[in-house]
Amino acid sequence: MALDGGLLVRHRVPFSQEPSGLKGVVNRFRITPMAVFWTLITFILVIPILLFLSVAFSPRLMSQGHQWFTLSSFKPVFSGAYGIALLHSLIIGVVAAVGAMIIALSMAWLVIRTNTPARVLWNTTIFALFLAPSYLIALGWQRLFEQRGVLEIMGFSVAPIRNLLYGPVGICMVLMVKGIPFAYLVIANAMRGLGEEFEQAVRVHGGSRFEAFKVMASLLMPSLFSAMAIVFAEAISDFGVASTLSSVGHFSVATYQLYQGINSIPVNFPVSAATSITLLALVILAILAQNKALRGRSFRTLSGRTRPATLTKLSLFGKISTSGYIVVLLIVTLGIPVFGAISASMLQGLGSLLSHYSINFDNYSRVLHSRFLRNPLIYSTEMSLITATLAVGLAAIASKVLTSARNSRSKRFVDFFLLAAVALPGIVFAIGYIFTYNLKFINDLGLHIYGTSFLLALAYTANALPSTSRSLVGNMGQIQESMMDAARVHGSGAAKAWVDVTMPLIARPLLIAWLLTFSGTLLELPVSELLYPPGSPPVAVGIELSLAGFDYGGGTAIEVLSILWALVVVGIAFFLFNRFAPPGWKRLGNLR
Amino acid sequence: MRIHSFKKGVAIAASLIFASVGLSAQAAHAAPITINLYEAIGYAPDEIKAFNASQSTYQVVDVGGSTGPLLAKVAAEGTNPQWGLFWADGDTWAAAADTAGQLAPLNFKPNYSSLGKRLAPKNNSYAITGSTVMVAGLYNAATLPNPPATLNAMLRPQYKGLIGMNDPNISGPTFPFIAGLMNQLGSEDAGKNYLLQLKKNGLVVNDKNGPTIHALEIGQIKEGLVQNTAALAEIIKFTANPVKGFTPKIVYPGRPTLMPSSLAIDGKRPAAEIAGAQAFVKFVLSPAGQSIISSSDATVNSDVLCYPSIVGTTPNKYTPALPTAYQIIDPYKWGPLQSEVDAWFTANIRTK
Repeated sequence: MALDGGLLVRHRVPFSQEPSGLKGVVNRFRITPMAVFWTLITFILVIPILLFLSVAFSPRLMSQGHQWFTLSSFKPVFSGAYGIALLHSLIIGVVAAVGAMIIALSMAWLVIRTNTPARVLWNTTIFALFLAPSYLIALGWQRLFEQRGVLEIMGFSVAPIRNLLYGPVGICMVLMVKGIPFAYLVIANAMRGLGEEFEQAVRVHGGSRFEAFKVMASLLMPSLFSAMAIVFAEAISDFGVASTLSSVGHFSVATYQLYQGINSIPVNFPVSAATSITLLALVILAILAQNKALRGRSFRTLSGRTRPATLTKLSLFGKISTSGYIVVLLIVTLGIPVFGAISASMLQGLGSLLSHYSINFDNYSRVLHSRFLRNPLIYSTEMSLITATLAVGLAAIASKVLTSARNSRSKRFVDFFLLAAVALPGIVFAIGYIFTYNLKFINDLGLHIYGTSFLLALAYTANALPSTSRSLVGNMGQIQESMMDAARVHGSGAAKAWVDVTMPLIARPLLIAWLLTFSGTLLELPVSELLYPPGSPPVAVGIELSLAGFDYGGGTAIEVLSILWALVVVGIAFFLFNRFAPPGWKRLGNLR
Repeated sequence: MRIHSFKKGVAIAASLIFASVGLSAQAAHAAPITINLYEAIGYAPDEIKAFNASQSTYQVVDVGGSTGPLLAKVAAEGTNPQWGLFWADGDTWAAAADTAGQLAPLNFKPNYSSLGKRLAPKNNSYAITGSTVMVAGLYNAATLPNPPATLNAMLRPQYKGLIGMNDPNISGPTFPFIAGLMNQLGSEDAGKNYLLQLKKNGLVVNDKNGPTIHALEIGQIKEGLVQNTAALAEIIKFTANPVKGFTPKIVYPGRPTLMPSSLAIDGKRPAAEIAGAQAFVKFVLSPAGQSIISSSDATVNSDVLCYPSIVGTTPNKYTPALPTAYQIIDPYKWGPLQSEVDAWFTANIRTK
């Protein structure tokens, strides 16, 4: 055993044919990470999604009608008006995804590869950008551009811009702005692991700076497509932004039909399911586009010898112009939602500087004692900690499957269901969970997990898994597998090899994925609202209840306090990482 | 996925589920009997607290949310409902549940006022806990001193582009308004024709009360057709902190519809839970339960601005008098039309 370095141990032929008795049973059901992964994927993603979609064909299956098989649910879907709405959703998705990716790529390059002074600003605010809810982004834009809004009061004539804002342009812009932070985190992670050997090679062979940039962008393809896929799926599943900004412009989107089915009395899930199937068709288009772009290419550039890139020294003009670009982007992405928050929670009066207004913290001091804040925030924090840890563990495996060289069935399977979970609005996803885990025959067996924190954590995990996985795809796709093989050849078990070899290379991306999931879960609403355990509302439900009682100032104040709390957790996590993580874990991603 | 991996997966999942079940099963045996109350009523948590403190046999547990998602939750639970009580604005959902045979009728006769008697179902299948008005015309008296006071007046050219309303597909209380409109004008078609004319006169449609009221605040519209509690919340807010140039007031165009808040009991739950649910409904309609309506702070909880349905209940101090003319619609007649009317609204008013 000692002489063969581990290889023979793993492959040796046992003396006896099969272990017998209890040992045999234990061996047969040995828990491997992949078995756990497939189990969880099946139970937290595949079955809930399939059961929800099944009611489009068979309402009776889930007690949603009398027919075992029908296609009548698709009738509204085949109308001309819905076709146009679906086309609108597709266009919004593509524009938001491509726009967010281009801006995020440029930002990642400026922040990671140049000495532009404003990069410090961006690095310190990126998680605040991620936490800004689309509600506050849309609200901020509205308050600025509406009739007798801030800009008109300041004397600007913004009517033409307003007409653009209340329609497809505004919807695309808000969804693009919402997608930029996620796209940036994905692309920046991958760029940190890239090194600069390839760009130097281009330059050495006479290539221009732009050609070097093109090579770098090509090597980042998996992360670029990951970012675009998630932003696309988020955009096509959007309802709130489109509904808020299209009321004047009457710009229909596919999810309107879906919500119409859910909001009708009696609730019409079959029509909502039929609508969801068309959204998934758009997801398939996105996956096909991604596969076509990445097929047959290798992006494995990250090894133990990858060196951090050196900074490009910008001229004075370059520093000023790039800093200006970053500051403008920050004003648009962060300043406007902050203004929305201030307008809704601190401005007394009409909330839009119309006249006679004052700014104070009355709403904040009032909600500090609100039943919607303290306990719900503690509960949401606990659930977010569990969810982030579980989701990152699963995402590490999912991203490995997604970046495998072979275009296997399992890869396509995981890819589809992960994107499907994003493309389906959260409320639909949660309804799939109720269908699955509230089945009577399961209850008759004594299994009652619906209405427990356990199920809520699973649903949160499933909801977070797509973006968490995609945030790691860029890095996992860069890792050269030969390093793991080398570790195994030298006697390491799979787990030890992973911790010793892979972990140092992706420690920082894992931390960012964890924080991404924590932040995203803390204020998650649709799944929380339908699946929270009786008597234990998460903070997002508390905010919703405040807003429902027409306490807009109080509700927004709770939202802002929750965001600030999330930022505190992010700060603590980064502090602990920088203070206690082994030096090797922190090396990649640091600038030389 | 290989087959043996899948088998392992099933085994692991089963063990995870059994582990969690063990915990929840232990909890299930603990006294008192718990009853889940799905509610979208702002003062329901106070009623729950008072009820739980008043006895020890039952424990009502709060599952608060918005009416739409809660109804979706109930529908998703299908034939295995987990709610013991459901309490929300409107009665079309309660009538639909009653028609489907899902409700346990009240085992007592509430001491309804004359208004309560008119709103309550004849078969006592659910309780009426109060009512609000759909719709109130909230207008800015500083810029619109003479608001339209009738349905026909809103069609006049002088109000072109100045009237706003909510989308019934998103705002639950807006369907009773539309149904009331149809009821008042004599038929569904007459109501649709009226809405088409209103649209021709520049009707502005926003999602729900909040955006419609904001459109009024910024001067995009001059009168918003919203739930009266939302309108009252706005008036309370600006009475406390006046703003020059914005004086919100209420007018009732036509005969507005009274929309009850309904509290229903799930008839599919075990008998002991149903008994507890009956006790809770009785408590809510008792003097102790009703006192919460008058004693709660309406500035942070506008649902207490309802018109009480029980004899002897004092309305909240901010609740104004009932409109001089109003109507009550039959939820068993109008409820089943909601899907069709909402779809029509989308196709003809919202998206065109």
